[in-house]
Amino acid sequence: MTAAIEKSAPTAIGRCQVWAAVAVCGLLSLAAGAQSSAPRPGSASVGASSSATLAAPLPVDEAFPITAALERGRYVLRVDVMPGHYLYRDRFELSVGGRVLANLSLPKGKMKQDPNFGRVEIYDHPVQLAAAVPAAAGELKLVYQGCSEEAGVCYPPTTRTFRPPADGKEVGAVEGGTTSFKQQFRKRVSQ
Amino acid sequence: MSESMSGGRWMLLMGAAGVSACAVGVLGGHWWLTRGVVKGEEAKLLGASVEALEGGKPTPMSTWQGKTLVINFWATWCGPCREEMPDFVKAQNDFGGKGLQFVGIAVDRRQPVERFVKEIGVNYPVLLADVAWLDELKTMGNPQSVLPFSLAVSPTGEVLLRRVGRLKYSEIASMIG
Repeated sequence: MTAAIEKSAPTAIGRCQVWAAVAVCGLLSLAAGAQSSAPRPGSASVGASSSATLAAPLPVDEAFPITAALERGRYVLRVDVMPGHYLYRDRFELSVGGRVLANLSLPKGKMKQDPNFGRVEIYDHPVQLAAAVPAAAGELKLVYQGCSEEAGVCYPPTTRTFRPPADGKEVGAVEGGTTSFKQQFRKRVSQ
Repeated sequence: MSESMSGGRWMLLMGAAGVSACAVGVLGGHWWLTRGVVKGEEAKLLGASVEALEGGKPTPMSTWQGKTLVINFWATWCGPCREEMPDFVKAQNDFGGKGLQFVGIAVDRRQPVERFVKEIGVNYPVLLADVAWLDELKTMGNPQSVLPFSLAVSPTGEVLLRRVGRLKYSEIASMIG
């Protein structure tokens, strides 16, 4: 019996290893199936996967954080641009009470040779915009449009509303996280 | 003897676990891969009528039912959208006979769209969507409503692909098989 046990032991161990390998294989296939098919924003959820190497686009407010302040009779807007993103200089528009401020001061941007639009001026770094506060009161709205080179996509023209207090404190947009596509959209796009 | 029985039971148990795990893995993978049957916002899109660029009439998306449909949301102000469209023209040429149908949905104004479509010789239907569709894209796998965005649906209504960003010719070719 001892001899039998001794003889069969290596075989049993071998079989155990095979079954253990099958079990591991099964568990791995289950895990791989779940992982490869789980929805991932920014890449195809089913089918092709070559874009999986591209970054998923950031929310527009994270890609371009903006604050506004009222400083000595001027609106000052600080626009940050995350690495791998850019904003078109000529697509900024600032308005108060629905009236576009013609005196919006935009710093010089970087010239980019775009395969589609030719030479365009962009901001791929933080910038500060300013405009004199007009006599007529109203909501301060900024329209802007940009793209993410790292994700290979463009954001639609976005409108944000700001209510900077008189004490000069810097504030973020009122409508955090929502994009008002309809406002200004038809006017601004495809120029 | 009892040691041998114990070893045999253990082997049997491990074997059963392995086979079960394999079965669950395979079936689970199959379920994941085939779960993309059109529903929700995608069903809303496929059931909608969208203004045609040519003629301006509302065109039901069901017009292309039964084809391998690739719906591409784009705009002329979107550089990456413009860059990928020549690939779509080529794919429509190459695989149209195999049941591939591209439909471009421009979230844009008519005039620049007409100009660009003519410029690159788009050979598939182009529709003009209201900007409200950008919000609808959020529930179709494009949470930031960015462009370009493509959605491929099989003739039987399964979602084959959702793509935020560029869709390559090679991917289209592999989809058609």
